[in-house]
Amino acid sequence: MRIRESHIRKIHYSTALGAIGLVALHISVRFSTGHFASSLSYEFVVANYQTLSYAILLELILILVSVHGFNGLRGIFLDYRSGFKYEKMVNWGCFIAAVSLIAYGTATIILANFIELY
Amino acid sequence: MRISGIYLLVFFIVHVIHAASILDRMTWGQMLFLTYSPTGFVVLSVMIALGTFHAINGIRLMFQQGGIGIGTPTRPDYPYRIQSMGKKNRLCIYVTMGVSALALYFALDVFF
Repeated sequence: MRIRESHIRKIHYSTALGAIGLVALHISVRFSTGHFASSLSYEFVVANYQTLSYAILLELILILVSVHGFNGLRGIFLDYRSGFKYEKMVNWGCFIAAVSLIAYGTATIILANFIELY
Repeated sequence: MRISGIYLLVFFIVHVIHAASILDRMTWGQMLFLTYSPTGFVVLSVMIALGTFHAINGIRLMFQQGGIGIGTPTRPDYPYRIQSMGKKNRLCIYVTMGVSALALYFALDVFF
């Protein structure tokens, strides 16, 4: 499947705008507890993962930042060299890396929901 | 933009791997030692500053690629001036740097 470069650009911009808002929200939650250290306590972080709205927020950040980041990296690599084989390698490399990171992060979010706090 | 982008991507990958340690209480505790170290605080502060710069400058570039703020095309006469990098754009970049410096100051103030 081939996607037009202009469409990829639109995806790049929309993921950027989405990520700005959501990451700002994520960072503000870390600072909103009064003390940074307490926001990273094991119980607080697990409770974050087990709150549905926050888990959705984390999943969205994971997808948006991964797509935006690896697409940006793809652009940097393609600016330095060209060639059919090289471009194909970079495109697939970045796609696989983004999917792997999303899968890894999603697994963490799902598995964190099975932790039992006592 | 590229330096900040690569820094943020590397930080994000490490952050996702680091976050997976939540699945084991002991590992999470050990990982927090890295976060609470001075190096960890500096890495986080630089991330906040570079993230702010990357976001604001990225929005400026979006407008530029949409044709907003790049001026009208003129005949290139000596002394050559880059039309797309006028006073307003330079000012935008300086303001972005200022806001990023403020973000860095705020982050360092919170962490240290």
